[in-house]
Amino acid sequence: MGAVVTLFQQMLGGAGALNMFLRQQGMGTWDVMTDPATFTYLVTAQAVWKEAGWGIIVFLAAIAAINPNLYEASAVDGAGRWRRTWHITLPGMRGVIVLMLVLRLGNALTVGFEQLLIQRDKVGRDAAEVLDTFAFYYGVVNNNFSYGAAAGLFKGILSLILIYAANKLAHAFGEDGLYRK
Amino acid sequence: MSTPRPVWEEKPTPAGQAGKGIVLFLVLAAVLVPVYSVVVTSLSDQASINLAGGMVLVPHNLTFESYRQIFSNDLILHSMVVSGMVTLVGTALSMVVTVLCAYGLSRRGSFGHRTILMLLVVTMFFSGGIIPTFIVVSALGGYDNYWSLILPSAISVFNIIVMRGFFMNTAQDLIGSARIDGAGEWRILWSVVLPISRPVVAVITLFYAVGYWNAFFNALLYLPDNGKWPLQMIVYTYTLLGNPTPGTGVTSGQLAGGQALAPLSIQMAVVTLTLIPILVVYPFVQRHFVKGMLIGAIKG
Repeated sequence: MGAVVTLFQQMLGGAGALNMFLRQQGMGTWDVMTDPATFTYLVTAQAVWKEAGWGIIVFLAAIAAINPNLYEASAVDGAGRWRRTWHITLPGMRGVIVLMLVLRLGNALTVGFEQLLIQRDKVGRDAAEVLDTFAFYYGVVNNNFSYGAAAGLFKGILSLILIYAANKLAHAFGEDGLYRK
Repeated sequence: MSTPRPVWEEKPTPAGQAGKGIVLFLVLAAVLVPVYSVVVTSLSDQASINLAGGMVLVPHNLTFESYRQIFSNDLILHSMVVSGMVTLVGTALSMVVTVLCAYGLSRRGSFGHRTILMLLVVTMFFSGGIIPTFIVVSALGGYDNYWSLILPSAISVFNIIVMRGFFMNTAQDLIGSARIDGAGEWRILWSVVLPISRPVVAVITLFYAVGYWNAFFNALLYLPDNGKWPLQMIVYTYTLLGNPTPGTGVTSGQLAGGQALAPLSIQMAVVTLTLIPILVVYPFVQRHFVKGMLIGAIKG
């Protein structure tokens, strides 16, 4: 994650490629890396940039597992590209999509802990403090163990609730999720 | 792909082809340009960095000076040794534990396998948080000790479950016939199960190795002394040193003889060094990805 943040810093930071271009064009600079207003978008973009390759591999595997005869049959019945995508590819990968969603939701509150830890000081606490960084700075750095432990436990319980809800959602879609109904 | 286009599939329209090409090109550029820029900047001298006003995109007067400086810096050299050793020892340890655990859990009727699996899965979705982990690891002597970089993250339950899924989905009849031929559990695991599980073993070895190589939080938590830091921790400190914020309480070590801000090309050279091993290993394991993950994670 350190490398990813550095790459973004070099592209979008105050001395990065984006602001070099803006300066050359005589426009005002915009240091994306330290702007609290857009920080949530920045974090999302970094996570997508880093994780997209892995997601592509998993979904590619799911698509490759779909029986090609289904495509042929629907093409013979007159379905075009988009209808085949909608009626065969997407239902065929539904199980994998739901499983990935459940796994993601369980991790949602971690929100890329290292990523936020690295960048917290640059954008300020108001924009970048999450439960984990709070537990780390309050508990470990400031030696306030009981308070930090409470924050960590709180996060654990919330995650558990999220997982449970995500599994309910998976069952509503008729999928197994993490465990069977 | 290599398969010919089936007759029932429509011919692609030129507009569709162009659109596909543009989207793929943009995605490729978004991935490659930053990496390229980091590598080129790491090879540039200070003059061309000043000329470019920051990141260098057009190579100009390339020099290996920053790498020479890195390799003559004891702190960075030592951190590379630490990272390498942690990755090697950690990955080996993790694989031994994961394979044994997954094999045991994949045999139906092995002692307590349902209970053990439940206990493992619980840790995947619930944890007490950073502080209890810190207290436990410190109490066990992990504070200021290299083992704290390996042992707290030695087992990934997700990887065990993927591998167990793979083991369960293959070779039940092979295992049966090996048993009839008189092979014991160790022999079956080593001579039957592992050889046919090459894809999943390769993928999970890579996961562990990349995990150990990229980890810095354990170092931040348990290693107060920068003489023991791994390479990623050096990168982290550089990031902090480049943008110092007083009063955060995070220990920021001194690099390159106490200079406050290391030149950009050296920073980029360190980042490049963290990227190289992963870029070198990935292509060899990539062909196993689809098979290893498909059978293990999705069907399992």
